[in-house]
Amino acid sequence: MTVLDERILIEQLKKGDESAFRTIVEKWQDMTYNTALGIVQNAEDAEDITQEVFVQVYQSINTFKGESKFSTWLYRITIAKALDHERRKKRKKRFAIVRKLFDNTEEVIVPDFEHPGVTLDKKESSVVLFKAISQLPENQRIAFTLHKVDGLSYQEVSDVMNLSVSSVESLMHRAKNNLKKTLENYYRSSQ
Amino acid sequence: MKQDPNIQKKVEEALNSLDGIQRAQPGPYFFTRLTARLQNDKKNVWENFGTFISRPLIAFATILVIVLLNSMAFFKNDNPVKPTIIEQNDPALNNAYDVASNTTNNTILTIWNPEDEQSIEK
Repeated sequence: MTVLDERILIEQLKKGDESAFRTIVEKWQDMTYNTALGIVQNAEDAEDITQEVFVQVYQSINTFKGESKFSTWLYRITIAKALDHERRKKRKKRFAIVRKLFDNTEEVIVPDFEHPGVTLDKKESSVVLFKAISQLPENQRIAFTLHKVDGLSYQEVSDVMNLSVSSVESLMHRAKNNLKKTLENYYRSSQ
Repeated sequence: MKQDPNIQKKVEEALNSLDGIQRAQPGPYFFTRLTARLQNDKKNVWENFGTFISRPLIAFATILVIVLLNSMAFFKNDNPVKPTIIEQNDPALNNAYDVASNTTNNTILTIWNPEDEQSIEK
């Protein structure tokens, strides 16, 4: 799809064309889902976020002025929704901890996250890596996920995150160092 | 600190485990589920508005604003509106009732003429 086709589709959607919306969803649903999945590390939550993203696209397409690429706009909405979802989940978790003090119900164990796109021989290592990624500070986590899981270049990551390329490079460097430390500690303790 | 080569190997493997990762896809019929959600959201607009407005804080704040506006209107009204006499001299209206404005008083006098009343009694 060329940039011109993209613009035509967006204009059609602004006029309320349902078929244009369908084409947009079909084109970008995998990208949106993959980004959400990389951040929240849960298939159900990622699907829920993907739906929320397209609901917002449908409702607020008129606010898209075309100053950035449509995919950049989508990435931003997805990241905002995913982070919001995480915050809500953390609040619930905190509340559950307090409730557990007064209640004897057993704690729900969250299973390890396996990304469906990872090759079979790397699955085990990727589970450990995703666990380490989830412990990174927010900005480092987003930069690392966009680059490594979504395959964006540093330039694209900088566009999405509204940062300079050098800031993204710095974030990636720090993320890799932090991941190394976490992984070393994990493998040392499991020996 | 001395680095264990075995651990370093595992760390490198883990860091490289996302190389060649494929894009994950949502479940089938995603668009159908999405349109169902959109329909549901449209239906719930008034429901959501009702829920929002019936929140104790929102309801209390709304009442407070109304009371404040009323109080302001009451106390700040230094120039109360003086009653004005509207002269009703619309020819169309007068024609419709077959009564000229300058004859109104006469007509009323005619209707309430006490002499007539007395003559009727007589």
